[in-house]
Amino acid sequence: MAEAYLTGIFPRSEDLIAATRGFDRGRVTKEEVDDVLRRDVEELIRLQKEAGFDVLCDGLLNWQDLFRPLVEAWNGLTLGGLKRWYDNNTFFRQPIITSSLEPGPLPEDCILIDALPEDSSGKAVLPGPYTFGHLAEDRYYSDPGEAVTSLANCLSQVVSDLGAIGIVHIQFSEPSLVVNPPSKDLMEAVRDAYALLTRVNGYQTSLHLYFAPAQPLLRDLIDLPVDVIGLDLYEEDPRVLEDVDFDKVLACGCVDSRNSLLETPEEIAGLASSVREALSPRGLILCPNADLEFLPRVVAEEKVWALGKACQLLEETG
Amino acid sequence: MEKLFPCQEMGSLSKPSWLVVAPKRGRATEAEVEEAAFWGEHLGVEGYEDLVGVLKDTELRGKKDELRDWACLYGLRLLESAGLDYVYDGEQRRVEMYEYPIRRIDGFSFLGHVRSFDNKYYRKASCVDRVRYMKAYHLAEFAFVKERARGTVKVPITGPYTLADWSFNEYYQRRLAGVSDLRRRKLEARRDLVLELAEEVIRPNLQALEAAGAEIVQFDEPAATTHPEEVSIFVDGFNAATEGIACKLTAHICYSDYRHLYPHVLEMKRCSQFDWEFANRDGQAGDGYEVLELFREYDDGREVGLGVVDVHVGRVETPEVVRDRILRGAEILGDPGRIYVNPDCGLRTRTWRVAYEKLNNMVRGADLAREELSG
Repeated sequence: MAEAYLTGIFPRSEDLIAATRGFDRGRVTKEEVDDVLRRDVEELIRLQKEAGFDVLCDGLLNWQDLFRPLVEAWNGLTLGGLKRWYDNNTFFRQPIITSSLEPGPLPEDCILIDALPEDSSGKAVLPGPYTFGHLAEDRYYSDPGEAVTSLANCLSQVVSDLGAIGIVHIQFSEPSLVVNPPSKDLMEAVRDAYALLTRVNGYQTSLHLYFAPAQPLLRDLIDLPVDVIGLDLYEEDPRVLEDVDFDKVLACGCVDSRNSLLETPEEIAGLASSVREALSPRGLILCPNADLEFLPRVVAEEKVWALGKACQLLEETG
Repeated sequence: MEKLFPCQEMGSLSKPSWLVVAPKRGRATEAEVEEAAFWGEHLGVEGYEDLVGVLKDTELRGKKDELRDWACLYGLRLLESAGLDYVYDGEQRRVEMYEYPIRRIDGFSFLGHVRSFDNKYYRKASCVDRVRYMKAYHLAEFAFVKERARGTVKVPITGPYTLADWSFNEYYQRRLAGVSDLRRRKLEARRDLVLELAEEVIRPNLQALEAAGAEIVQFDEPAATTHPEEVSIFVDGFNAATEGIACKLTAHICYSDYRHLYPHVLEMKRCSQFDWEFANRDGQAGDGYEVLELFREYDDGREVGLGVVDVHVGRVETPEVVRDRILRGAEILGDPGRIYVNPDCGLRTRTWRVAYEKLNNMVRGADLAREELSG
């Protein structure tokens, strides 16, 4: 049996785009933007629910990039200039570590979990500590491992807080682990970081790897104490992973968040089946290979429907 | 080269409010009329009083084409008045470098906005059918500029790799549905799209421009190094687009890791100049120019368009800063005769006042550098 979930920032609707643009130009108030944002999140929650998703995400529609709310909430970080988000035509503001990192409470509207129906479970998406450290400019710590450890400490505070608002699944997004793999020493710091991040009970945790093949270091990553590992099947030939002992749930990144070409439910189900056959994971989750924010909203919505239908197909065919 | 350190434009200028906002409103504001009068007089735009009259007295809805002509003339005169040797019109006719050509190429469909960063978005198209040439989309603007230009005209055109990279690719991926390795399918589809854009769209555009008298064409390819493993596709795209083209060809690549370009770009035999951005990365030690060592390392003898003005800051570089940057670049390159001087990129994010001051100081800085070398 397969389930499906979203994996990160979802594209904003054309209404929210117009509202945020208007806000920047002084024509729309913050309250008006918030109203549109709430409606947008509700629509996205409804979409996931109707598509048959069990674990629902607010789409991070309020996040300007994967780091922003954390940079604004924690001590020791400031916002730097724009940097390219991997090999996408999308940019983020680089976090700059200026002093010892200390967590602070996230803004109330950071994770809009109260839009969830009572019978639903919530999922949060956070940057993984390695990716955070790799993409930040570090002006304080003398060693990248120290930065990763400090970031993990701060993230663990966020993880603890998320339980109080009903989150049951936490995804750590770690594209840098596969795009720019850590040295052996740094990998030890990453291991320690994930031991810390998964210490709090009561969550399912996932590690999502994308924008590059995970194959070269999957054997190192498979032992990290997370429940789910997400792979980007548009960067990975799963046949080369056959001899990995995949003792985890596999989040199968089987719709492409970087192309508008719509995958059919049959194609998605076929791909997922072949990967399941090759890797024999403990369980299977269907998902986009990365944040769907690289697509216009209407296309992303179609991809959500296709994921839901592919789950049904897999269920029907066993 | 006629003189050391000739100065050139590098793309778009911002568009005046009397072009962008006034036609939607129907009438120009007093400030817009004053702006048109000020720049018209300051830049020596012939007949600018006619524009001022139109802005003052006329209902502007439906007059966009006429205003666009004026904006092109103003853009051209701004660049000439600043003292540049190579000029165009500040791309006043183009909504921007991606959407303008894509809307004039058959096979693309716009699906909606995607985010660039924060609350900034852009319209992204998908290639949904085989790409086909519809018309030479820069021909009319080139003819307009050529007829009026006092300097040498250099035409900017968005290159095939950037057009492909900034678009979704449905048609060519669907055509390769039989390829089961999704990574390979994506890469092969990318190559197909780039090459067809190059051969079927960009080359006919170049042929038309050349037939109309264009002597220099600049390929804008900011995406060239976005996917380091695809630099060879960018190179193949350039070579395919320029086959049989005799005019001088240059390539502007900005905000990139230029190391990824080599050695692939050595195969771009018809590209006689690379225009890169340097000022943006220049620290106090002049280290922004060290990347020029690549030309020596790979024995690449082509010309360099040296970015000496940062287009992302309002601070105006002094002529002395510009001079030092040029001399630093010349020292690293080892041949001042191959250096052209330009801003890092188009100045569209700056006001005309700041852009004009930056360009003026750039030209004065080139004069100082020339004096320095002539002893």
